[in-house]
Amino acid sequence: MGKIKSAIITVIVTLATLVLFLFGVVSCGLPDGVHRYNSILSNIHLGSEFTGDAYTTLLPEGVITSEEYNFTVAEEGDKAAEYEETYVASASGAYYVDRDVLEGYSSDTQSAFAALASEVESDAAKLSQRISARNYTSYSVNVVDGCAIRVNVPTNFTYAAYTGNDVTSLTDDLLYASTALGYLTLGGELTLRNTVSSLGQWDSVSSSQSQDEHETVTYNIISSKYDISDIISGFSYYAVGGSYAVRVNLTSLGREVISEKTTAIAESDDTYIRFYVGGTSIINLTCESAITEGSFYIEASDEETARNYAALLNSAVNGGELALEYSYDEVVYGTAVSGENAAMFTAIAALVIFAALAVYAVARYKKLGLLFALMALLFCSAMIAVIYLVGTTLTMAGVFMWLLTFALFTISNFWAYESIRKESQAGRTIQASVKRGYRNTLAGILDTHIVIAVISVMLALIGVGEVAACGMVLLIGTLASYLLYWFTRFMWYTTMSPARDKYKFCGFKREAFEDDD
Amino acid sequence: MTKFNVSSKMHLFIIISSLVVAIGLAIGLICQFTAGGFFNSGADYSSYRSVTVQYSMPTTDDEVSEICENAFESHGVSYYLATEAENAGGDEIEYRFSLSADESALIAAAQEIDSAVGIGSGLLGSASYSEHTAAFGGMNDMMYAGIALAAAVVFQFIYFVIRYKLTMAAAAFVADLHNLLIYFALLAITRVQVSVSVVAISVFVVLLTMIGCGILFSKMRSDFRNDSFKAMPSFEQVDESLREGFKPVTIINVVLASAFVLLLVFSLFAGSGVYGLFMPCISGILAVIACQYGTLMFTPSVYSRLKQHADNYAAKRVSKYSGAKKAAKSAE
Repeated sequence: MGKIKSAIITVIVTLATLVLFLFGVVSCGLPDGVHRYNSILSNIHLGSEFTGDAYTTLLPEGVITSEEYNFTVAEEGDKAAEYEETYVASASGAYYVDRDVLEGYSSDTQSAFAALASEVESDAAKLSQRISARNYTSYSVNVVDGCAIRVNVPTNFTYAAYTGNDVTSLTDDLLYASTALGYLTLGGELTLRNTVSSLGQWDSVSSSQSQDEHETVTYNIISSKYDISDIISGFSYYAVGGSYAVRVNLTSLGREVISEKTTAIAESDDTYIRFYVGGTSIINLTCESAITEGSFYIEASDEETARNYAALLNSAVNGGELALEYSYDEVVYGTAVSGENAAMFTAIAALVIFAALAVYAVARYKKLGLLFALMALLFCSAMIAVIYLVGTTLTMAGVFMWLLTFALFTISNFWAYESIRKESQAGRTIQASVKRGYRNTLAGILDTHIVIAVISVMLALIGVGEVAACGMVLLIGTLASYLLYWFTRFMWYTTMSPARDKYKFCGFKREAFEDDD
Repeated sequence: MTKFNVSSKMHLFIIISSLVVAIGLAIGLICQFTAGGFFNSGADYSSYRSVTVQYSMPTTDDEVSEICENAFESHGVSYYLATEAENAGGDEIEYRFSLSADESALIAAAQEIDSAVGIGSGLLGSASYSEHTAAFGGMNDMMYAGIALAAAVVFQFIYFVIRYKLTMAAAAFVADLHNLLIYFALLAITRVQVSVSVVAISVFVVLLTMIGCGILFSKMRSDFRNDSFKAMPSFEQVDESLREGFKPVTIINVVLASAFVLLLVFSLFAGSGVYGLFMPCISGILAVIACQYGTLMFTPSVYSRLKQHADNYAAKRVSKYSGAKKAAKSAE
């Protein structure tokens, strides 16, 4: 390759890499002093270790917080007297429970609290299973003092949102978390409903508030002689080509019943089947014709919604119905449990690791090491860009996987370099050594990448939550490592072409050549 | 390493590994009955005690923190995590304590804080003590993660069978299981908190073992073709190759361990104390230690036995033939 061509390609690649890296990691205020550029890295959704949880405390009917009790009693009005008469403090005093609710369990207060705690614990376990099916990278469900349930889900904020530099993203992520908590904590049984009275039957949920705030009288279309689990075997999340849906799987009996009901509904005035959990309408299915298949799909507006619906409905149909009715005041979001600045410090640590590796590479391979450092920078920038584009949530374990793929990229290149060094020590020219060195290591590097890629696909497909997210990061990193391995070879060829002393360029010694002299 | 013959030390390594696993098992079982779990549950699965402080009037967080710190100090309790949160009604700080923290001291501390920030004070806040019992319903997560991990190990075994030899594949399979066992035993012994990230680090162990075994077996395969190696007994062949393969595998492990140490040092500055990033980093370091020992000590010693058996079997088969057939079989 000619000197000019080599110089042009080198400059273009170097500039492109540096620009991509700068856009990838550097956030800054814009010259107008009002707007701000948030880097690609700061727009990646992060796990709760880095950006904290959203949580809420669910209170069963008849349970209030000590805060509410104390404020009411302090006001010293009629209500204060009523509260003092009505409520009994829990063991720690953090919650107060209505005497009537306790008497519903037992006349002995202590036994009543124990029975309430037992029901709350059972519901907490069901909620935990429900949230587990939601595919979050982390979550926790805790019974608080045997009287309430605290549910934590990750906010999945981007770093820009977490630090308050991207209010839109912050609002969106909070809305997602709040909506998810709203759906996932719903109690009540699953019913399939329609507004045409002749198609269904009156039951205790005859009048319900639908999502559009209009009161709609609905009727359960499934006969009371069937349990809903006799009709529907489960719900699952389904996504294809940017469309999201809830897949409904029917039992063989369900297939007959739904076929019969949808035939009638398709010909009626109201062609919707409304899926209710308790008194809340969750999702509607439009029936334009009879459904005769063993499964069908109901489209959802976005991924989050489809996942929420699938997790809630599947839990409701598979024995996850909550025994008590819960309410909550608000969804609170807190700082990261790993430390407020954990994400920033992790990024700095990653930069230090990168810098140390670059220094080692330059010390060992001279200009070739510099080229490797540039390619490693490109690897990191590419990872940032692809993780952002794919929308994978980056957790601490994901960072470890990133580290592993970075090690893979480094090992692959250094293995090839060492092989080439050996070849050159055997007296071959650099060009011949490069060819032989890459040929010698090709099989090992190729199949290592293939094996890791296959393992990462397994993790992404079989695993759920954090494991699936790790699989995705591993897959992205493995592909980037292999592609950039070959790009590194191309750039080596390009940058080394004009060099007079090619051995010096690579930091190799010309032992065999000198012997020949 | 140049003088250390690993192949002949299989029994020693089996004893060391068994001891580590037995100690891990013993500590885990003791803790199962005394401390509420075989492993030390992390943030995702752990129960804890907390003092939650809410306040709505404008004030500085430092002011509230100071009140709380003083109350905890006067009652002799210390928290392991403090998280701040904002809500529509104001601000909230939650202090988390381990289950071993004195309940009556925590209640007294909460009451003291409540009197300082409660409705009687200018802050119009409240403080309350509560106990949080973890409800674990994530068996599905664990089951799928386990299946994914098992699938990865099996796929890796198939790869080693195709790429190398059955004996090497068997050794790599043993290495995976051994390293995972050692890793889990170390988690039980050190009481490092086990959270969801540990599942991902288990995958890390499997991949790191694969890379290590891949480097070693590639080296061995190319070395075993040399005439100088063919004359050596099986144990010596393995040891000789290991001496050359030891360095790159160790460098990889040292670099990864250094990265974890670096993250760990940074995590301390992130204000997480012994929580958050600290535990996953320790967990990562334990994973690298398990891989370094398992891949470079235990696995070659096991492989040398397998190789010896395979060589003996091949020699027996060769002895059945004579003349040109024997020469052909020997060459095989």
